[in-house]
Amino acid sequence: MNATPNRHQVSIEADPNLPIIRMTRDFDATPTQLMRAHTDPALFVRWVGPNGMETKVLDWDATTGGRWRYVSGGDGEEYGFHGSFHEIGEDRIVQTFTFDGQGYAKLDALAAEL
Amino acid sequence: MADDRLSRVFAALADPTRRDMVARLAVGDATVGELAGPYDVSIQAVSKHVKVLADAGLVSQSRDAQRRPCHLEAEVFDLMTKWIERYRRQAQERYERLDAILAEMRDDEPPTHPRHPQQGAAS
Repeated sequence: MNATPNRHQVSIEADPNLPIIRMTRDFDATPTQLMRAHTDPALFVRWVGPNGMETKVLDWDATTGGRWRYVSGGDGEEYGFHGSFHEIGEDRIVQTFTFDGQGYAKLDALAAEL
Repeated sequence: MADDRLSRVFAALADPTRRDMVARLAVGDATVGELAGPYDVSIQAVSKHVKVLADAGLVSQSRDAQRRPCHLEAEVFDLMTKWIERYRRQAQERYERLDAILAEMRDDEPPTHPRHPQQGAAS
């Protein structure tokens, strides 16, 4: 473990009692900018990754009750993902995430704090 | 299959009693009787836990017929930490790409940017 404090290092914490993973990280940005990077599909595809994969958005309605769908490809393989935007707020996003064909959804909540 | 092995290791450690036993074995080898000591359970129940740990490759038992001490195969933990580290690295890489996008936005936007909730995909 690296003991040097680095505020841009992601902290990943698993809840001992609930199936939840909490990731915390600092960004040099306002909550508005952080939200935009998550809701503007042209920006989102540029960072979602993973490295070596290209992301194509097929459906994107980043509003409360909206939905999203994209495919990630590389090496001739293509993987599809979809979900719904349950809540799009000023500094909060709640959305589901499903790997096509897997039949279950992960619930993601993003909260930005100044 | 590495994945099957990983499933067995995670499943074996998904039990608090077995994790306690692993903690005890990390200190040094112990017999089933010694492992049963702190618990209000039968030797048979402890033997079952040892079998689950052994099937996952986490514990081996020597052939010494008298004592058969259990030994922790600590290198199996490398399998878990490598698997976990891969996802930690991917998360870190994703956030670094996001940093680059945010840096561009800082350069493009005036410092006081009005907030427009519900604006959706702003251009």
